[in-house]
This record gives sequence, structure tokens and C-alpha cells, in this order.
Amino acid sequence: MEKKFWFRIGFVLGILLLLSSFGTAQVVKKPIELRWAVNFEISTLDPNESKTDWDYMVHVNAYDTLIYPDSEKGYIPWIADSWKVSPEGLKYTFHLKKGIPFHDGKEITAEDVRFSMDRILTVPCALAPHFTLSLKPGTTKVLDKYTVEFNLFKRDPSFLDSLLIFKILNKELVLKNKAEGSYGEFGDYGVKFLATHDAGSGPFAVDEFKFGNFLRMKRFEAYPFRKRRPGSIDLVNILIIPEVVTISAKLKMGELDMCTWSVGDQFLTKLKEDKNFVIEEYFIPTPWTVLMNCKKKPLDDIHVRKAIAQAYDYEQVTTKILSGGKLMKGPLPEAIRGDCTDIKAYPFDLEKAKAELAKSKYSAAELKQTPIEIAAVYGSERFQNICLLLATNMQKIGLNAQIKSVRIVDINQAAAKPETCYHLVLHVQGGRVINPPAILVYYTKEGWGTAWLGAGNYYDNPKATDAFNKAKDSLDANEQRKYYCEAQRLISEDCPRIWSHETFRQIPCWRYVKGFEVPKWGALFYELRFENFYMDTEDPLFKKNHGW
Amino acid sequence: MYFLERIFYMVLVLVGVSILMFVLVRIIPGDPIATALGPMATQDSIQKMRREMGLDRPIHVQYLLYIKGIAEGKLGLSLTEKRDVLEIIQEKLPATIELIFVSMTLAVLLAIPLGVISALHQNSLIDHLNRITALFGVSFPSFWIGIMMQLLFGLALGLLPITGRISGSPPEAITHFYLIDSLLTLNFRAFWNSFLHLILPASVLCLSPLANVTRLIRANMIDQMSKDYINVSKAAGMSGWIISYKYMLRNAFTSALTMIGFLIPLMVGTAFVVEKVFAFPGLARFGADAIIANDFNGVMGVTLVISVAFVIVNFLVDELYAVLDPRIKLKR
Repeated sequence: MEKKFWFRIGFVLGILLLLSSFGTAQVVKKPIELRWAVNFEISTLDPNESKTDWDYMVHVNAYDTLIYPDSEKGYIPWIADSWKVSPEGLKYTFHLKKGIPFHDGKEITAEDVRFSMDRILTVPCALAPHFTLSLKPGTTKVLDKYTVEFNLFKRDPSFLDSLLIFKILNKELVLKNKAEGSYGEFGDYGVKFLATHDAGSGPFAVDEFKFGNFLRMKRFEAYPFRKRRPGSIDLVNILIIPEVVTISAKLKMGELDMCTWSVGDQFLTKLKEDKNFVIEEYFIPTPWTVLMNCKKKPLDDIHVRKAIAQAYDYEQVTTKILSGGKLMKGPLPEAIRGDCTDIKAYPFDLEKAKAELAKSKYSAAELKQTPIEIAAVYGSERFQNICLLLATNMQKIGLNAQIKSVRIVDINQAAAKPETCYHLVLHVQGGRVINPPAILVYYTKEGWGTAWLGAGNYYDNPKATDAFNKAKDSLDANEQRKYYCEAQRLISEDCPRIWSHETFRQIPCWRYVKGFEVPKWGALFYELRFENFYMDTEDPLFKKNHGW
Repeated sequence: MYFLERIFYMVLVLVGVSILMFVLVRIIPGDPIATALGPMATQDSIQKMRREMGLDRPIHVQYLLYIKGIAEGKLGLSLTEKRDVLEIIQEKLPATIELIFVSMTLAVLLAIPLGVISALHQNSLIDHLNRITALFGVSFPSFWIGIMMQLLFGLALGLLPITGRISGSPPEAITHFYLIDSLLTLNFRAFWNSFLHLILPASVLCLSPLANVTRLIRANMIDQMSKDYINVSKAAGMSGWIISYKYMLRNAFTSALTMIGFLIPLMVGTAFVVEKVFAFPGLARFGADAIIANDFNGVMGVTLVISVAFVIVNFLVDELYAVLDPRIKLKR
């Protein structure tokens, strides 16, 4: 009897204790995390070394720039409050906003801007070519604490475009962590430190970075340009998963919220039918082209080039192999082409291709005996399939087309000389700042000899080059447009490339991820600024996937 | 004297491999500097970087500088990760070693009983099943098997994690082997979590060695079964279990041991597919990426690691022979 009594008392007390723990438990607010997977390495945190899409995505969030792209005005002030350009186009003076902090709390000043520019111009890096053609180290001047002046030695109409990728570094932090190097008082200029640390002022700061594994970013609470809203992202976890099928599986499992656009067109098509997912779709002005080595027989004959262009089946490429694409009309993407007319097009037509080939100076027998090598980047199924389609059609019209599956480094190396460069190279121009000079330079002698797969055209038309140079030298927007149109018209008549399409990008995400804005401007990766995203935390799928 | 002689030959092999690889990675086509600096790099910046990396010097001078760097604890700058290759190896090698060790352990633990059972029940249903499974293991590409296992155990059943080495914080780093470190620090959550992460990649990686070792053990056991000492042992009334596992297997295992010794360093090469599919942050994946990017310091570093693994494992296998079979007297 006594035992039973004490047992009952103990049982009741236990229940009461358990119930009280629910009552007194504190509700801890969980951070809102965006989990993203990419299939290539984030190779560095140094914004001057951005090469891959994911490098750019990280840098555009960790760092800020003097100006920001705008669909109506072109650029709006960002870290800069205002700027002016001298009449001759050689002096750009920027007045900075006051009180803008870096991630460590230090204020951004003109000295940081000067340091950042001199670093680009002094240390060999991927970004340098955007600036070294018009600026020299030591010529950027600090006029006062918040005013900086860039002194160009040569006019550069794309200078403001280039400033969209010019990230401002925290000079004090970089020099505090400099290693031994060959740059005098600047040591290694922070090369070692910046590869794995962030010295920026962007909306997200790098929290932890493991090469080949993951990168974690935390919201910068003192960021002055965008305010928090309900559901704003606090943490971003970017996982590096090389296999896209694995990424697809993790997305479906709810372990990811968004992922790379490279997950495969079949998977994206299936995902469109699933109401739990949204596919953000938009075109970006990165051109897909098949470049022709105009110095290599038989592509030195314009009729052969035109025949190959008419053997390229754009419809099949963009609907069956890829999941979309906007037809290109000439060398420049629509967003920067302007209202150019009279640009020659070469629609797919095998009969017309045969007729064109018959006009060639080479006989049918010669053409059959001369192999035409098509370089397809090793490891890319899409590239292989597109090249296979082209080769098949070329063989139908009587050309000896052969596909070579080659590493990018080898295609780059081969492109340095006309005799080693492949006949045809399928190429996606992934320029981060899409402007006419960056694309058209490779249709002139200035672009010859560059060890890069997009440079092996070896094409030259003095009239087109002249129009291109006049456009570059002009400061008048209308005049520039006129000359760029003329250059495009002349180039299109010579058909040194097949202009396929502009990239159609599809980013899959769960339905509770909101805030994505399709970009209306020509600067890439700004649509992936995480500050714009927010989560619908009331969505049951969000709660399930995040364990809320 | 014997050990000194072995060490001398090991060093000779390593020097030979290093010279061969050093020359090969520098003469194959592809300019890694131009690729590293991007398409718009000027010739000046490319030449500047070449000078900074010592690539403008004669090749024999570059090699001597490389050896000097090794003595100073540097293996050169990786063009893909922009840090010293030794640092990358220190970070990623433990993951690959752990993966290979667990895979090989799994392979051997399964291969022994499967090989013995197959031999003892030759041409029975179980023997045929074992052989078909072994054929499956070597015939199907490991990336396909890996993806199928991810879809089954991860996506469909939700039983196992499909990527990475651990979820959450890793255990405190002592040896950098997560299983060992978590036991040493009594972090059982980390132990269990890292073990779960190892199951799928290790299972995929063990299939090929499992198939090879099983078939070899089966063949050797069948060979042993025809020996006189087996009949004598049976006549003496010894149990079948003891005859099979204590006597026959011991004799049959020596050539399997050679194969295991050969397979372990090879698995560093085959592990890259598994590491890619499972996003396992190991050295094999880095090696594969270094080859594609023509990151010659990276390729050299990984090749040296594999070479060292080969010579050490071969040495250990030779020593184990003497333990397994006292008849083998090594000339010392």
C-alpha cells in the first residue's frame, strides 16, 4: 500500500515536471538559412580573381562597388554618392558616401578605393585586363577623405561598365594580414589572405570557407543599403557538390532550397510539373557561338563558312539539347546590340548550305578529304551533343567534320596560334560585364593570339575594325551605337562565326523562396544578391525542410 | 642492413617517379598560367606570373628548386586553389585515407567469407550468386552505382546522408580522421554521424576490390583443397571450420594480400569518382581537378602521395608475408 502511494506521488510529480518544462522552455529564434548547391569549386574569395560563376556569386554578395546597375539609368550611385567625367573622358571623379562600413566596422574612404584599384593594376589577376588598357598604377588620386579620381591614359567608353566588377577592399585589414611578397611595403598585396578571407562591405560576410566543401555567409547587420524584411535571409550555406544528379536528389529531399542551373534540362522539365517548386527563368546576354578559324583551310573560304552556318540547327539545339535560348542576330546580344538593322542572318537550311558550298573555291573532293575539327569541351554532355548535331549536318552537305573532345586548357592553348587553333570551337562567352568592346575585340587583329577558346577567330576586316575603333573612341552614345551597328553589319556579312543564341537560365527553388528579381540590365550576377531573397516561413514545406 | 637497402630502393623509386612526372606535366600541351589568369590576361601579366613561379628557368633548375621546396615543407602553389599544395594535402588526405581504409576493410571482411563459401560450395547456387555479384561490382561504373545508391538510400528511403563527410561540426582535430578523433574526444554524435556519411561511398568504393579479392580467394582455396594436408587433416578428425579458416585460408591468402597491397594505392585514383559523386572532400577529387586544369603542382603533389603510398604498402605487404607464411624467408 505504502509503495503504491509513493509510486503514484512520484508519477504525478514526474508528469508535472515534464509539463512545466514546456511552459518554461524559451523560444529560441532560429536564423533563416538559405541552402544552395553549386557544381563547381568556389576557387577563391579574392574578388580580383573571379573566374567561375560561383566566384562571382560570392563576390557580388561579400563586396560592394562604387556604382550599381539600374535598368533605366544604367548606373546609380552606391558606395559613391555622385561622380563626374571630364569632357575628354580621361578623368573620373567619385565622391563617396560617408559612414559606409566594412564588415569589421571600419569606414570606407577614398584611400580604400585607391588601394583597391592599384592592387588590380599591380598584381597579375583575372580582373586586370578590364583596367590595364586605360589605367596605370599610381595614377589614381585621393583628393580628400571621400573623393577619389581615376586618371585614364586612354579613353575607355566601357570604364563605368567595368566599375561594376571593381570591388572595394578594406586596405587596413589587407595590409594587417599581408604576407611576404615582392611588392615592397605591400608585401604580397594580401594575395594569400584574400584567397580565404573577406575584406568587403557587401550585404553578406564570409563566415567559414572550406575549399571544395562549403562556404557559409552571414548577413551583415550594419549594411546600410537594404533594410531587413520579414523572412530575410540570415545565413547562406553554399555546398560544393560536383555531381549534378546528387544536387538534384538533395533538392528533392529538402536538404537544399535552391541550386545551380546546371542540374540538367530533363530534371528541370520534371520539376516544372511539381507545384512545390518554382523555376526562375530568364535570358542572360551571354552568347553561345561556334567560332571559325578563318585562317585555316577550308574555312578561309567565305562560302564554306556560310554553308556551315546554314548547317547549324538552332531549333534543335535550343529545344532538344538545351531547354531554351534566344536566337542571336549577329555578334552582339540583344540587350547591348541597340536597334541595329541589316545584320545578315544564316537560318538553318541544308539545301541552301549545299548550294553555298558549291560556290566554294575548293572542289567537293578536296572538301571531303580535308578534315574539319570541331572542339567540344571535355566533360560537358551539352557541348558534345551540340557538336555532334553540327558535325552530322556538316557531313550531310559534304564536309569532313570530326569532333574532338578536349580539355579547356588545351583549347585555350591551341587558340594562341592560327595553325594550332581548331577549325570550329563551341563557346559560351561568360563575360561578367557584357559590353560591345569585350565581345567585338575578338573580331579584330587586337584579339589575335590570345590563349583563350573564344579568341581563335583569326578574322580581320579593316572596315569593321575601323568602325569598332570609332565606336570605342566616341563619347556620344548615338554615335557609338551607329558605329557598333556598322561593325556588326560588316562582320555578319563575312560570317566568321555561327551566332547561336543567348543563354536561357533556369534556377530551381522551393516555392517558399521569394524575392528573386529577373535582371533587366546587362550586368551579371546581381540577380543573385541574397539580400533580395526572403523565405515564407509560414509555408509548411519551409518548416518541414528546415526542421522548424 | 635489409631495412636500409629497402629504404634506399624506396627513395630511388620516389625520385624516379618525381622526375618523370615533373617533366611530363611541364611538357604536355595547355598553358595553366593563361587559364589561371583568365581570357583577357595580357602577355605581360602571364610572363610576370611565370617569373614569380620560376617557370622561366631551365627545367632542371625548376626541379632542383622543387626538391628544395619539399625540404622546406612546400610543394608549390596550386593554380586552382591558390595555396601551397602541401596545405591542401594535409587538409584532404585524411578524408581519402579514411574512405579507403573503411572501404578496404569492408571489402576484406566480406571477401574472406564469400570467397571461402564459394570455394567450399563450388558451382552451387551460392557460388553462382557470389560470382554474379562480383561481376556486377567490376562491370558497372562506380558513378552509376553511387548515384543509384543515393537515390535509393537517400531520396527514396531517407536512411543515409548522401554527401559530405559530416553534418554539423566536425570533432576536435587530433589525427584529422573523424572516426578516430571522435572516439578520442568521446564525441559519439560525431562518430555516428561520420560513420553514416562513410557507409555509401565506402560501399561503392569497396565493390571492385571485393570482387577481385573474392575471386582470388575462391581460386586459391580451390587450389588448396586438392592438397594432401587437407585429406590428412580430415582423416585426423579436424573440424571443417578449422581446416578452412585456420589452415587453407592462411595459405590461400598470401596472393590476395599482394593484390590488396596493389589495390590500396590504386584506390586513390578510383576514389575520385566516388568523391565527386558523394561530394566527399578528399584528395582524389583534387587530383582529378588538377589534371583537368593542368595544375602541375597539384598533379605532382598527388602523384607523390600515391607513390609514397605504393612503396609503403608494398613494404608492409612484404613484411606481412613472413608473418603469414614462415617458410618465406626474406633475405636480410
